[in-house]
Amino acid sequence: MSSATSTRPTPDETAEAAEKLDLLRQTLNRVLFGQDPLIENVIIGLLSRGHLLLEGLPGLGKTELVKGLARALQLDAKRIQFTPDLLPADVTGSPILKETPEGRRFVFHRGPIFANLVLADEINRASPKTQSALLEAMQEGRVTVMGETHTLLRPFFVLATQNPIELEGTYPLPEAQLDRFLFKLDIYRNEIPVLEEIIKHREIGEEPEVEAVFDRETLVRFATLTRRVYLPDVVANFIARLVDATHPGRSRTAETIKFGASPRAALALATGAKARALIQGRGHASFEDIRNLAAPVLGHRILLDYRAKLDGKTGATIVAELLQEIPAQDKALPSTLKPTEVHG
Amino acid sequence: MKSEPPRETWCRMARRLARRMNVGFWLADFLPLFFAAGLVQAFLLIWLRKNQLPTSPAWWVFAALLLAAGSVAWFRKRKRFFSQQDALVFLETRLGLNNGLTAADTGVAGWPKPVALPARIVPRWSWKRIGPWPAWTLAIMAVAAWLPVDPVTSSPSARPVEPIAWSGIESRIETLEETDILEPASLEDFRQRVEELRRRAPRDWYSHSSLEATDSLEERTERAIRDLRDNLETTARALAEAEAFPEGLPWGREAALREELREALAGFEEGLLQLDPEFLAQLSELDPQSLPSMSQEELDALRECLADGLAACEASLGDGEDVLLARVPGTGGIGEGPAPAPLSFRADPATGEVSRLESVSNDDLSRAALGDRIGVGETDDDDEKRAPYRGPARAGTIATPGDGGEAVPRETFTPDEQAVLERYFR
Repeated sequence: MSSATSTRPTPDETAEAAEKLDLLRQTLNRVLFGQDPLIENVIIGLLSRGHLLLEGLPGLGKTELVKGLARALQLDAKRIQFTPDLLPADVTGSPILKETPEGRRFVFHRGPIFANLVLADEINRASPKTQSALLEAMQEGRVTVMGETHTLLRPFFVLATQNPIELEGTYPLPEAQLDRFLFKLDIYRNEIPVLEEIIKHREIGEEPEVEAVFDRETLVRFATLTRRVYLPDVVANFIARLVDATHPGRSRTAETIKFGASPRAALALATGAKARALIQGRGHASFEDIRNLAAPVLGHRILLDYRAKLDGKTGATIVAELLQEIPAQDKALPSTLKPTEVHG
Repeated sequence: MKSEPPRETWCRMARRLARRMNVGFWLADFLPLFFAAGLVQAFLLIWLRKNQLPTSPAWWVFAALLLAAGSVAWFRKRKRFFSQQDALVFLETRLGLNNGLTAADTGVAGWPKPVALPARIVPRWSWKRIGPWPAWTLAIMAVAAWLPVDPVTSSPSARPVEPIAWSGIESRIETLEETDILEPASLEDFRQRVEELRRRAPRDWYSHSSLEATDSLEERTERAIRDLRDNLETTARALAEAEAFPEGLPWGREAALREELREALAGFEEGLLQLDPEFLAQLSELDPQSLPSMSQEELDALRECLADGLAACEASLGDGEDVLLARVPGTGGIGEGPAPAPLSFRADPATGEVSRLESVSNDDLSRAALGDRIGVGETDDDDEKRAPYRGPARAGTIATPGDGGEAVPRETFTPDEQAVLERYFR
């Protein structure tokens, strides 16, 4: 066991992290109105060192969120608009011939992926080759061009978006690549009060003012602290049973699932739960963390069969059914006792 | 009063909860076994009461079964029992404590402030599931304990009835034992033979060989008694005749009496029923010539012994007749009947004809006993009231002479011819 996981966070550490992360959340709330769950999940993704896939209509503030996040955390942010003619080199960068005092030589010109925060807008519009280049960089944390390996910045965080409409001419991400995203988050339209707030506090073309909350080093420290958050055995058992139940034949709900979630999903759930616990100032993960993160972690990792699609079910609804079916505690009550209410 | 630390409070609540859970698990398995044990006990109790045996074994068996059921239930459910940690998880799940109790128990976080457990989260007993088992069990046991049962009486027919001839032989032997003139050892020989037959397995009592042996022993006993009786009669008659002629027997009669006495003595010596040696010696000294020299007391004693022996023989043979009469015609030894065949249509008691038909049957074979009488019917055995049918005595003749002209149409003519004749004579 590494020292990072063997030493539990102290109450002071968790309190400090919770305080600063709450400040970050409040700051981002001023950038993106009415999207509290989305903002929390984005922060969880940051702490978990994972990448997020956002799905929602244009104009809901995805770019603003990334910009606000970059300013709040004093990170370098880039945006890539994915189009069908985008090439891998446009993402990763390419060597160019340059005159130097030593003569002509190829110098690697860094692409937009060399940033702490990368907004990959409409990722499903690029060709699979370009998608693959991005996803490989996300996985490896480095790019190799002409036999030369270039390490990406740390922290490295990709926020990819895809549009659920106008799917003609798009290249849907295959399941194997979807699995590389920690969360898939749906961005829903704003309610009337939220829209009213936006109208009152925003002007078109004017970016909101965002103050720096903490720096890059603090973010890395919090990410390291996240790994030290205690995951109780019962919670780990719940994650294992939940992920196992996504496989056909392993649960009643899974009858309409074609392929279940991978072990990577279980790891993502565990890490996300730890991050959520830290945000809430706890030094240990809980069942509630798992319940909250199950849909964004598992929803895009399970492949539904035709029956579920005909019934109008989505990954999120299936996960909700699974959470109803799989009890958090792996201990049933005896039949001689009446069942009791479970909190939440 | 010092307040209890949160850890102690939570652990105490968890232990109490775990106990309740574990008892619940144990009960879930134990109650059906409890019912089964009660059922066994009830059947055992009824059986013991029916057989008029002490009922305490039923309760001991019940206690042993309960112990075994409890152990089995514990063994089967032990893996599902709640530990204190499990109970803590149960509590924190119900109270929404974000696994705070588990973390505190591990030492990762501090113990939350104890709260009073709301009634909705404490598992309550489901009496609908628990109650019926003991209720039914106790009801069944109560029924078994107080239900009136008919005790099973030891039926004589439980053991096969031994052949009646055996008791007949034994009765004859017992009658002969009342006299002192016989050697007890010779009587014991007959009794032992009967015992040998009786020692056979009851299922073999009516086997071919056993019945043959019984018949043979019965005939042998009867013959021995008759021989003894004949010899005693001969001796007594000779003694009386000799006494009738105190002056001496007529010429020629003395030699005849001596010969008769000698034959009787030989019979005594060779007979299956041996006389008492002293009495036999006394008889062997008898001689028609020496009788007058015997004292009156000696003669009286001798006469009394002979009379006693004869009476015993007659009584013994009489016992045999009782046995004979008790036999049902046609049911004697294998392949042969000692009495006339039944259904002779005569009201002659000597034939042993059965006038009362009795049938024995029983639908419930488990409770059947041989000899159970379930009904009695009467038949009219007075066949003399009816004219016996007599068939033709010879071929080509009519069976009855007929009453005048009626004999012709009755016996020889066809119905058409009879009709013609009737019309003519009318």
